[in-house]
Amino acid sequence: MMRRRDFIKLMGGALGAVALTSCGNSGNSDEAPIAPIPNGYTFYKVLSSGDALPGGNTLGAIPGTVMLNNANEVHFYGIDQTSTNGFYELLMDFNGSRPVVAQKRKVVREGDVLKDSKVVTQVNMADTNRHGSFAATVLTDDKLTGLYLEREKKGLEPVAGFLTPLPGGGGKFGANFGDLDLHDNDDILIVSHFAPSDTIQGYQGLFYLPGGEVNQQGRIVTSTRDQIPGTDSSPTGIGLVDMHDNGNYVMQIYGSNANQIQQTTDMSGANMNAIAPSMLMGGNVKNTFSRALKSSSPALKTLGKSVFFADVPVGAIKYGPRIGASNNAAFVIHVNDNHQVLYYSGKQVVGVGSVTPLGNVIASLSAPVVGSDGLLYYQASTDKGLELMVYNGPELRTILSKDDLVDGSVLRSFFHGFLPDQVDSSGRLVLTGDFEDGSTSIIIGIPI
Amino acid sequence: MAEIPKTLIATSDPLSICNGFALFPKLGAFRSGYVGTNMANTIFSVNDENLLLFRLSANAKYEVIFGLCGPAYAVEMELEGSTGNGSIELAVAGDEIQAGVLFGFTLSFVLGIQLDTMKFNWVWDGWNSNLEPSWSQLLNFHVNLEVDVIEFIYECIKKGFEAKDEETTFKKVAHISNQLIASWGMYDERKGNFVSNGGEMVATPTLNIPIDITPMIEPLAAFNVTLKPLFSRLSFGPLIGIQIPVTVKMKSVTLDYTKYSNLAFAAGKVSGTTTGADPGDASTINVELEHTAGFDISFGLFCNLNLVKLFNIGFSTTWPLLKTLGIEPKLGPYANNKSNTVGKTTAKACRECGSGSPAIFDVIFEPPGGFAI
Repeated sequence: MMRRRDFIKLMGGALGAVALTSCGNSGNSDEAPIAPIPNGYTFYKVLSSGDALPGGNTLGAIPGTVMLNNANEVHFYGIDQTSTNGFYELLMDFNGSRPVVAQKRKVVREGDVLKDSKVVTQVNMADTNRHGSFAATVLTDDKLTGLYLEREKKGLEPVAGFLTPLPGGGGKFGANFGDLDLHDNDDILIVSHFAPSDTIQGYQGLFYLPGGEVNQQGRIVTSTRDQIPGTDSSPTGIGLVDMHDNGNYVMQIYGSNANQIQQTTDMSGANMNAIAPSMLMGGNVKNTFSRALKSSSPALKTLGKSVFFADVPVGAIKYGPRIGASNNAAFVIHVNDNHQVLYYSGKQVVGVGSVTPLGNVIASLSAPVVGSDGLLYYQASTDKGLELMVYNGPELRTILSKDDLVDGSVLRSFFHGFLPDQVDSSGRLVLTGDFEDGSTSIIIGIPI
Repeated sequence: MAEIPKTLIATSDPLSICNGFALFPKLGAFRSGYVGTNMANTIFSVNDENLLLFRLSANAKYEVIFGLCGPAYAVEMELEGSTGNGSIELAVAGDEIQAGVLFGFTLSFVLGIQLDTMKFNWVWDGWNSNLEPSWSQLLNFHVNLEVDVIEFIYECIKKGFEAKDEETTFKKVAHISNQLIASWGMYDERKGNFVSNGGEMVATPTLNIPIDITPMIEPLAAFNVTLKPLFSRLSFGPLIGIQIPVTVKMKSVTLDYTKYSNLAFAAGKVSGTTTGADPGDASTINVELEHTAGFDISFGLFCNLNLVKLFNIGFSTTWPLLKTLGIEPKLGPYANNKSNTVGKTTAKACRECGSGSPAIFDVIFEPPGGFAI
């Protein structure tokens, strides 16, 4: 018997794709919802492989790196027919019966000459904000990486690079810029190695650059010189970060020294994996003393510090953590090599082995995405393919799954959660999908 | 009244830090080759890591061979003047000091990464038809390399020194160890300001540059090219920090057995007095130098692998060598003497200065609370 969902799927074949949210109840029903889950989403292809790119090139592939800001702009990392990579911008018109690309623009492409006369070799990390600004760490032809920012579509300008004095002085940036996050007023949170002037040892720091500039208002939020809260050891590295517009941030940090490399063993006792212990730390960029661990590592337990972390989950943080309003962190804990658990706002949402609203068993989870209304989106791989789900506390629903029809094409696989900014303030989603006909598309989902 | 013809006082000619005065003389062969067992380790090793649609296996290991010659300082100056009535006056010309280290940093690095992606295939079997996931290899990369790290960051180090507007010289030098691919010198060089600076020469060579070297090493750069379509990147680099502040003063001049002290420096000349007998036409001139020094050194590595903003594993380690090995360098002051035949304008390499000939040694570091020799 055809289910209501199947019927909607068929309708979607003619009218874009309308996916009714499945009637899941896997959430914690005794909670008040963060926000209501929409009745359904309509998914549309907005750009596909083979389509024209600005500059006369043709889009060859989209690796899954796509973002949506509150200025109705989609930014995506695309590879053209010459295998050259670039970041492109689509200005969307959401006023009609379906989303339409009103304008395409190249933001930056390998081979471009930047305002500092350097030539782009590779774009490493990138982010956009509601003003339509675009920040990126870019490897240039001098084999060095720098932080660049574009405001008002006027081209990338250098913000910080090798030997740039640190905000507030006291040292210089090194030549290894890591993850970044761009926010309101072009405030930037960036991970970078640096050389302090008071010691010969290089460190890695999390830097807050208000207005996207390196000046006296900027600061080192924390660094590998600081101690891990509640311990007597320092982190040795900083991984992926995410910041909310209110200044709250979360980030991966790595364990205190090489001797704490965690090794797991198989049944015979042989070493299987060795990886630095990882933890989740959060705080606010304007308050140095707000730093706190949001997850702990078994390696910290061995230091006899578990008493400090009794109320946080224990495991590895391998995925990029995400944060929403009210300092609600969303992150996946790798409890062991095969078991992952998704946490949101301090509560366990779902884990490997759980059953999705469609009745499929979860084999693996992606990094989550937090909407501005607090809704949590995450993707799972199941024994029956992929599902994209939305969660609001009491409810958990599937909004997209393998074999759904999008603009008449059968969806094979899709990628959501590779970046934090994949939901706008209107609840629209952006993701990439591979279709049965061999095409790859940028897909926008609009709540109904 | 006796004339002192132009005489070269030098630790070696030409100047070489490896033939200079050891900054920490009681440490003896502090400029030693160092092969540390703690400097080889696993960076990360993951097998069949399940990342939604990806499966990652990645292994990275490193070994570091570190060689050091110094820290030391080398000095030269030409003295010419006269003595009489219990005093000496010498014109100082061609004065030069070099202070720093020669070192090498050879890195062996093994990296293997395999990335598979999951594909779903519809298996038709009537009522039992179903989807079957299968893994398809997306990336398989292995590299095993041995590099001279300094070679790759040479230009960056130069930029760093230029930005500091300091007179630090950084260049490739003669091998200090056959175990190293190359050897490098980092030292401050001061010329012609000895007298104007009150008989004192100050050098502060400092190096601290955290830098990602993957774009500079071809196999690793090629690996990052393969990661480009995934918007992913490997970053890897050394964390090298060296600081050697040293101050050298001239304390006395001795002609044969007559020592002149209370030295004063003015108008390109050094003068002093003695209570001893006038030496007349002396055959030997000896200059007593005194130095105080600080020294700190730190070596480390960082490595990071990310897949978009989905996945990240990182690692870094540092070896604060002095602290780790329990070394507490005594800052001095230390006295050093260099002599020559009066009127001789060449100088032999100073084998007795404490720096010795460059060679691989076992580590002879100062143990806590005492000296090794």
